Amino acid sequence: MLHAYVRQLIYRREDALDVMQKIAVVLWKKLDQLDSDDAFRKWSFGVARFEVLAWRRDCAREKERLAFSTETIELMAEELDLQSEQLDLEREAILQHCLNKLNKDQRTALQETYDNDTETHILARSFGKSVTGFYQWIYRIRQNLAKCAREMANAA
Amino acid sequence: MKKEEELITRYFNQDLSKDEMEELDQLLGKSANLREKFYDQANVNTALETEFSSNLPDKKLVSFESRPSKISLLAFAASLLLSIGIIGYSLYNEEETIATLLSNENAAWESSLPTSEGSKLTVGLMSLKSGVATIRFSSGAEVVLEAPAEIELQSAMQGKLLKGNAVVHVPESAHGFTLATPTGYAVDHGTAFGVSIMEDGKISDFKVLEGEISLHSPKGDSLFLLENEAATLNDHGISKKIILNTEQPFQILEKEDEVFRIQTAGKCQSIIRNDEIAYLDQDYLMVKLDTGSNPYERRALFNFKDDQVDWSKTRSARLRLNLVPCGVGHRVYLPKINRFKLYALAGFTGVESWGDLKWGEAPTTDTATLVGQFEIPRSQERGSITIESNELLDFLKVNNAVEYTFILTRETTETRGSGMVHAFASDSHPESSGPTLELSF
Repeated sequence: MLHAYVRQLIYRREDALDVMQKIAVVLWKKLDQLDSDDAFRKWSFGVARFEVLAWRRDCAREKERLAFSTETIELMAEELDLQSEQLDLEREAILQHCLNKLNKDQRTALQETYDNDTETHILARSFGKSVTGFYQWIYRIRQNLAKCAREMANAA
Repeated sequence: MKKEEELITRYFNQDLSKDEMEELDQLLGKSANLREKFYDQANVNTALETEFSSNLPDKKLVSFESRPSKISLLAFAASLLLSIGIIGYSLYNEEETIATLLSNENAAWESSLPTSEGSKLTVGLMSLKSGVATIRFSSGAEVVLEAPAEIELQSAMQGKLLKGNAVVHVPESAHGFTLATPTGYAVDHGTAFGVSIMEDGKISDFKVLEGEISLHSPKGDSLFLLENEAATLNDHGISKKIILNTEQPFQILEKEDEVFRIQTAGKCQSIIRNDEIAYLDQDYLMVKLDTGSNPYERRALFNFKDDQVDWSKTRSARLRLNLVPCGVGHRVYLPKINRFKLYALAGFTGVESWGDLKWGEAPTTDTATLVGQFEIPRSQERGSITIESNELLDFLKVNNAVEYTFILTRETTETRGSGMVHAFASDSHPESSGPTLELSF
């Protein structure tokens, strides 16, 4: 939920984890004051958005660190906030059902992209594809997963 | 479309160049359609990332988003607690040094903790009775306290200000430093901010000097404050904007034999650059340097007249001023040392009555002679200031005038708006004596 929201706004996973920890510290201080789920959700997303933007400002000082622009982050943060419950359901569906519908190659290729040790051109060649072709393929696999997830989530 | 798809995929692969990142950023900013596709891809990516990733850094956070069952808020809270349990442990280890008393400026403390400069501090309560002191938390956060103040040291990342005024500086290393007050708390995001506790803790005022903070009330309201913004936290929650307030007067006078004393007679007052005389008080000679756009710069003017004295025979001359608090502004917003200059004029014939003297009507330092300088630490609240210089003596002797007018200015400005206005007793101050010229022949 919150982690996914933050993750979708930040390029590097490690950065997202750092920001998440800062958010956790802020939220943790408030745990004894939780009274309603809804207020907490609203508030915690506010904190998350703020921390992401704070992180973005810190990035500006480090030239080599890649990040979306503040404007794009703000735009996406707003849109993602509105869809976050739907997206939560979809992620659940992906892990429970949709992944199983992939064939072995698709699943292996997807999994390999998360292994930082393998370079993309080697990976692409092992599947008999050009680098560009491989990216297209991965894009389409994710697109299919997203489509499946939406159908599952909406049917639920 | 191919190009965008490749960029998005490589984004998740984390092998974009800086230019490509900018390109993708612009494409996403322009097209809602592309953003929708990106969200789908990002959501799949997030789901798979934790499922598939093997070689992650050790600080792996609880992966609650990948669990198949729907997770309740409580479980979410519990997982957060787990993930930061180690921090929690160190927060409540009472034996540990969590801060250092960095400096004492005329400070008098009341505390069970050590109070000498450089002392290592553990969890505990400290009460600053007078002066100014700086505490540095082990996280790097620095709190400058102005007496009377009371602070509870809770952890390297958290303190609670129960009473008084403070300025908090938070370096990169202490992002997330929390300063609690009786009415709520502020989380700092790498900044400097000022805080004042008023009305027995019922009200806390916050002002951001640099960067930003978030304020939180016990009810759950929160507000992000940006640079130069201010807010009040009270029972009703958080509201933006503020007013600042404090203090009260006191007296001192010394006696000395064989000294001829001259005091001012009505011609003793302050002027303010913007001529807003509501910001002056006839009991005080108020002095402040303010370079802002609507300057509240204040100077003191006072005149000694005596036609019996043969000034040319003066052997020694001293000017005495009594420093008194006037309650305007905060001393924590001043530099540690404040410098003043005293100028003299022989006579001053511009305006006969000094009542409500305007800035433009008053004599300027351009035509006056510099006869003395002195310094006052920001921590000093009151005391007698004596100016004795060859310049002063020579000026009085050489001119041998019937009356002398002095202009007192502060040369140092404030580090932030709402800095303290220095005040010296005027000749109408109820307790302390006004400016006195002491001569011997």
